[in-house]
Amino acid sequence: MKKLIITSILFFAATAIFAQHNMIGGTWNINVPTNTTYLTKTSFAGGKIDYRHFVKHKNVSFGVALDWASYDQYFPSQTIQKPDGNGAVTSDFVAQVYQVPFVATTHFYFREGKMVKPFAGIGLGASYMEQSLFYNVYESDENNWGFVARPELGAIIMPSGNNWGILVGANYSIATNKTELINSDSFKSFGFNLGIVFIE
Amino acid sequence: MKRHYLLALCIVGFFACRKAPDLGQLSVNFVVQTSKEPDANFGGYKTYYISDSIALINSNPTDDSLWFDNDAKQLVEAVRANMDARGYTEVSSSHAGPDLGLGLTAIKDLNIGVIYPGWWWGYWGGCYWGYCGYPPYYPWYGGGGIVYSVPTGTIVLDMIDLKNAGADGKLTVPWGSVMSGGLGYTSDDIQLGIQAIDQSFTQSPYIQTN
Repeated sequence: MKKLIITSILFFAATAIFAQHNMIGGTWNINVPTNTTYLTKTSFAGGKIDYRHFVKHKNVSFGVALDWASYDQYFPSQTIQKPDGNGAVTSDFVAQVYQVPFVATTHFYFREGKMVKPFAGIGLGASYMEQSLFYNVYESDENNWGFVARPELGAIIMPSGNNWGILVGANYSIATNKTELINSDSFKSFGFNLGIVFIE
Repeated sequence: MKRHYLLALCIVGFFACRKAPDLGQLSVNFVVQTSKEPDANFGGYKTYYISDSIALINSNPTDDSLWFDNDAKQLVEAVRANMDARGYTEVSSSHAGPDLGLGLTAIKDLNIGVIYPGWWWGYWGGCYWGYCGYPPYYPWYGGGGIVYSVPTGTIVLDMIDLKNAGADGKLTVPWGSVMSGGLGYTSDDIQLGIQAIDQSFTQSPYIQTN
């Protein structure tokens, strides 16, 4: 996983240096899972590297983004019956989910040239997920890949004369990563992000 | 400009670490896993036998020591109480023709794999239950078996079908419970073990005589 993150960082940096009209930034992400039968606790441990290449004379950018979010939540003791009724497990446990979506993005900007530049966009790509259950002194893990779609809204706030700005955004993420524990085939969340961007 | 990129990457790197989960809230209660054979008919059994001793499994495969002190008896009594409450009648000897044999095993100092439900996994070898010749850790990989990893500190409770033992002597396990915890680490472990045995039956309401 670390290799993927490092490779992505190097890719972003190299692309940004050689392009003409680009944005690169880092944001702090807050994510609210919406799979209500499982994780419900908000994650404050998340981030994103966001690279965008602006198309000349168009209010459009194309880019890539690498996110990560770490969720964990304690569940009091409960009995989980196997769907076929032939088995059951009782324990309290801590569930942790570490999600790393890597998406290609496109954004449309509504007020080009203004200090506050709202945008709407979408990201499509792959989602890597590590899911761990901690119970008593034991741990079990489930890692998988899925497809992720992530529509987003936000704004870039850029004081005139500067090549840096603030990025605020919100998104809804739908990933097809499976969770065998709850027999789920998707992981959904609302995300909010705030960070700094550099444009040249 | 490159300085800005570097700054951004440093900020990102700060947040990039995966958060360590807070495990402080976890209880020390045993994790209780039960499984039954899909076609098991628990109403067809009336009597059972359980030994007063518990088999101890450790890293020495030739060590077949038994655990029979007061702590062991408390665990055995918990099984008895639950079986009696479900309407089964205990017989005084394994040679008195019980329908079911119940066996408790404690795992110490090793992690092993077992398979449920299926044939009794034969960890005692020898001639237990009157059937001889099965090697220790006898594996059965038949249809629908569930593989458990059994770690150190685990109590295993097997319900063995003696009523329908085949001519080949193979013993089926219509129900089993694997209770994983910290057995042997604190003075509270026996109480936790008793709670785990009670929970095994609580989450298996189908264990009932007719």
